[in-house]
Amino acid sequence: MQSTDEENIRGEILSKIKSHGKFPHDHGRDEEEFF
Amino acid sequence: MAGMRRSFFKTTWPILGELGFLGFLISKENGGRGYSAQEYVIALETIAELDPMAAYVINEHSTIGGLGISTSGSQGSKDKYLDKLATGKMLAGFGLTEPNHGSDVSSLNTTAVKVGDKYIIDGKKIHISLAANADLFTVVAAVKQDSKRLSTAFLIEKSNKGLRLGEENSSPPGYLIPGAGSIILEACEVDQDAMLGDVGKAGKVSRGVLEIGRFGLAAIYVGNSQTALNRSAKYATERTQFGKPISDFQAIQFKLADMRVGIQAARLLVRDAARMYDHGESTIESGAIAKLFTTEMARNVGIEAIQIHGGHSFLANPPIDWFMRDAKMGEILGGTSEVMRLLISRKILKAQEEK
Repeated sequence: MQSTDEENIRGEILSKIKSHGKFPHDHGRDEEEFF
Repeated sequence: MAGMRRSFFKTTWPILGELGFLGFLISKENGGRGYSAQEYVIALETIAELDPMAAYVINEHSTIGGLGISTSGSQGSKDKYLDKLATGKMLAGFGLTEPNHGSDVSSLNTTAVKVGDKYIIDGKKIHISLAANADLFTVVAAVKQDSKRLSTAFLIEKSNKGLRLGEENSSPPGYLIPGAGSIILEACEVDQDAMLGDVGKAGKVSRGVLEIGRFGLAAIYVGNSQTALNRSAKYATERTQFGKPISDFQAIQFKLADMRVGIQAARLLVRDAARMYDHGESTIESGAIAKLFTTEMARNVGIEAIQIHGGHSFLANPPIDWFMRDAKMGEILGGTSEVMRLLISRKILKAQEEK
């Protein structure tokens, strides 16, 4: 596996997340149900 | 105080399906991405930097929960489940551990008895990470055949009349596990088609999915630790003491450097295990090395992140203690650190005996 492949996968994941706009939710953890 | 994200499956899970993050290891013809293990751990690490719980659920669902269908399932099971798993219409969990037998596939109390063309399964499985929310479970049971008990893996849907949820694990020390608990199987009837692999082959099925699940878990802790480092570096450059940022002090610089070294070493161990997996090699040792090193590294990174934040760690929002607490759980999940050391030392001693 080349480093460019790694950058491509990482870039694709981050691009999808950015364009979707609703993930991650509350820093990736929410505190509403703490007990 | 422990925290759980009970709303996860209402808020985040559907989004993961929309993003296409639930079918990384499912083939393209079955609606997934068809990633190699090396590609998978990069994706998982990236997601874990942003949302470690999402990465954790993705890994459970993609490896120990659902991967057995791709590797060992009947064509009927593949047709029935894979596209649903890839899109998030179904969530897959894994039931191996029992109250009296840990995760030893050779001494299970859960039994499967063949009656006509069906199997009737009875038993209890505990410590299932996604018990409360999974729609489909891979369950390992002992098939009685003559005087033998042959460990065999089956798919059981939550809607099966013979399956009910048991007690929920109430207070995990970290934040990663939503809705963990047990399932109880009582005269649970499944078709022959629900079997993964052949009778007596649960060990082979389980090992395959557990190995990638294990170094997948390590990849999550690489991502989680990277975020701890990023937040620590940011805080160190913003927080001033004696008229200058605390990042100007060598004590802080050394901590950041040690965190970075540990994370990069762990990253390379995870990538090495994934490379071996893709080449069809056993990753029992390399996966154990990756998981052991990474989770202990993550614990140390979490502690140092708190130390760098000093008194602010009591006030930080989002909290800074998450990283240490999540890491501690990682030393137990997917095989304890002690079990990882046993796997590693067995390989050393076997090689020595063969010299």
